[in-house]
Amino acid sequence: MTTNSTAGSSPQLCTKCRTQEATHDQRSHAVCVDCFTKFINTKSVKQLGILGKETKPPIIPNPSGSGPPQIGTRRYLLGLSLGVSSTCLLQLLHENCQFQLSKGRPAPFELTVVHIYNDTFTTPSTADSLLLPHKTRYPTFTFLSHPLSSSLTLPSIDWPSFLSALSLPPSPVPTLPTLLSSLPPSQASQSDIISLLTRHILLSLTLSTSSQALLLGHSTTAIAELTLSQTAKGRGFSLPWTINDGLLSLPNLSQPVLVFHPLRDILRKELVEFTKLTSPPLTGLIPDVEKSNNPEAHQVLNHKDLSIEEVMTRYFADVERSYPSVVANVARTSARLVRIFDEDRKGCGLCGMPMDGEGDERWRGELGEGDVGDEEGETEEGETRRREGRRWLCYGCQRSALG
Amino acid sequence: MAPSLCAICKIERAYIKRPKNHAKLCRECFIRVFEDEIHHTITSSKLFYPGEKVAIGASGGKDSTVLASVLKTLNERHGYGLDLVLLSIDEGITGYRDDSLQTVKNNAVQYGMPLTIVGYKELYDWTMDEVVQTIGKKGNCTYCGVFRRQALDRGAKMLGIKHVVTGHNADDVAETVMMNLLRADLSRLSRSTSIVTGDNRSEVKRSKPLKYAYEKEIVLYAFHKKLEYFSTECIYSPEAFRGSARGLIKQLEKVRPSAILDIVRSGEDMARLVPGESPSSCGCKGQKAQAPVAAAVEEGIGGCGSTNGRTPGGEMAALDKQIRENEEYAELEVDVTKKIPKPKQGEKETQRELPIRTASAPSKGGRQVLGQCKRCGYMSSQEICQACTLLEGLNKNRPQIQI
Repeated sequence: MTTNSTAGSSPQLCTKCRTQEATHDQRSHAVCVDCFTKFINTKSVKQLGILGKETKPPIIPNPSGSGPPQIGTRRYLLGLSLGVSSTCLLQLLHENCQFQLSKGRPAPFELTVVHIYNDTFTTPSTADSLLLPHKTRYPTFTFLSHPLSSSLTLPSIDWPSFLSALSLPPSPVPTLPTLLSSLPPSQASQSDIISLLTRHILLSLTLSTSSQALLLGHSTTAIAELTLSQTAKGRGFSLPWTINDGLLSLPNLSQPVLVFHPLRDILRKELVEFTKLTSPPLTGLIPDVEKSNNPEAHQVLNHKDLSIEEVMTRYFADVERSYPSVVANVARTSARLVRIFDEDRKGCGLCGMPMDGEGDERWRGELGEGDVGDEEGETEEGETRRREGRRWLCYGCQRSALG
Repeated sequence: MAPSLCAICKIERAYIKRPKNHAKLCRECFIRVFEDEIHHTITSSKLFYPGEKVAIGASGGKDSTVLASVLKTLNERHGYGLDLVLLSIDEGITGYRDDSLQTVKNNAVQYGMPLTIVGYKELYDWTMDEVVQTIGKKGNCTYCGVFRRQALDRGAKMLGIKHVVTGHNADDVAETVMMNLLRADLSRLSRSTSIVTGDNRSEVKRSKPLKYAYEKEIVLYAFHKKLEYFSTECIYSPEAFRGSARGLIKQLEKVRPSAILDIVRSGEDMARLVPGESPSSCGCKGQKAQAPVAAAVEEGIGGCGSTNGRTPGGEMAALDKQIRENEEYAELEVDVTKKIPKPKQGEKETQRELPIRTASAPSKGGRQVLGQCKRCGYMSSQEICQACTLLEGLNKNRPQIQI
């Protein structure tokens, strides 16, 4: 990323301002630090402007009990994975607020930042301590850590049907490890279901914290990866709901939630560069910074331990390095796919996305029906479950939950 | 440990682990289940009618050899009543096609099917060897691909046949879905998964009975049925994009064996999400049970299948460059609807406001209209079809070469 000027030759000037030395690569233009930072800022501010237009400040009753109602402040919820993109978004939202405050204007929004942690491995106190540096650095924002197991009681998932498909009793509510061990053992299935549960929690927290939008840190590269990984998981039909900005309804949620990706115009490698340019650098806030920066570095020992997302991240790290415009083009084009839903049909019991009746009718690629056999204790009962599951699970969820 | 038994017959020793779902089967059950699945694809998609004369596009490679063998078996077993013939294209590639054609000739004898060979030389007066001599190895696949599509149709017409089946398998279709996403080609994406291409407006329809069959299973089937096929790759260079997509889906298959089928499913569903592609565009006139038909002059599925494990190269770089250039031009575009600032007082008025044309111009991005090529009469959305355009370029160069 960083352009090295050859020893002896005069330093190359920034192609934008033509005053400072060019040290960074911005879409194949050599630019200086300031112009690069400005580029990142402009790209995010543009999206935040669109978000501001889509969310009106809430009207709150006058505290004195009489008089005209007052205009409140917009409220957003940010999903913080502690990776590069969501940390950059946190910083950029902070800078945006500070800029407005420095102009003597009120803060443009209030922000609740939520980190969902997998309580199978992480204790609540560890999760809290992970957020300590963030709380110190961004004192105006509210920080929450939330356990993944809290998804087990969410009404937006059809738990009775899901548990029966996994041959688990409907009550008591299973523990997270029990649930995960009832899924197919592959990393591809486990991580897909975990990301679905995480999404459910974020959407429901957006409503319970009275936030007007859920902000996700996906970069252009992440959206391109998501496009291809959702395709690879058989979730092509629900793709427009996963990658596009806009209102998202889930079964049993009181109202649709606005989901927004403010960093959709910035490549991951640009964000990685940005983490080093803030003062102090953001790298201290990202626990696994090495892995985030260099997804190809660690060796694959067994492909079964890789998730589909990891395969995509590795693939796009390579494409992004050599062909950044191809990455941007994938993200831009997939955003043009339209959302189709049949109002008469219920959403998928697990992911909540619209079900594709017509797709099921046309599908002729049934996977070796009846010959899966007894390899892993698969019985006729397993077959019946599969058939049952098909009625209320979408294709992608059937694949991840039932194998 | 006792040897495991076949999951289907539970009598024979399991010999084969199905690549598709890792079921352990004996040799006979694998062959049977492989054929049964293709029978299911054919019957559920209503690909053929009794008495239909069908040409099998035969290259001598594994896919078309297996297709010919399976169709012969199923035709006899289930009484399809098909009149099957083999149709081969001789591209005129010494050391590749001349050898593989010998394999097709042997197959014709073994399966008792008449064989017709159509040559590029007789159709276009050019062999691929001559094309490569003229234009070099770079980009020659474009010529070969365009010529082949027409050649198969013309060969079929010569034989009075209206249906050509090709050996495209699930890996090919999945690869095409990924490739079209990578190069952001939504209109090809919407056509690439159809099992039947070419509708009642075109004279010859194409179908892919092996659309849901895994490449690895095709190889296994050919091996266990002891079929004779030709496995050398084309000696001229392949498409880089396809190679990159192929590498990706092979990775995904390792992580989750069903991924190839899941991509095909996503591709089928996403075809209906492409803007402007109404769900009824399949030409089946509401008969849901029938196979959807994609009206396509070219289906965008590469025909030579000789691109195993290639890395992305010039093609991806060229696309990257092209997108970047387009973006730069877009930045230079002037928004003509913007108000032109009035010249300050005292300044001479140099610009005169022109009335803005309000009538909507014919949109460029509309659906293609299928017509006929003015030169050869082949169906084409342009005045002159692709093959004639390419030939014109080639013929211009011919005299110079001869000198």
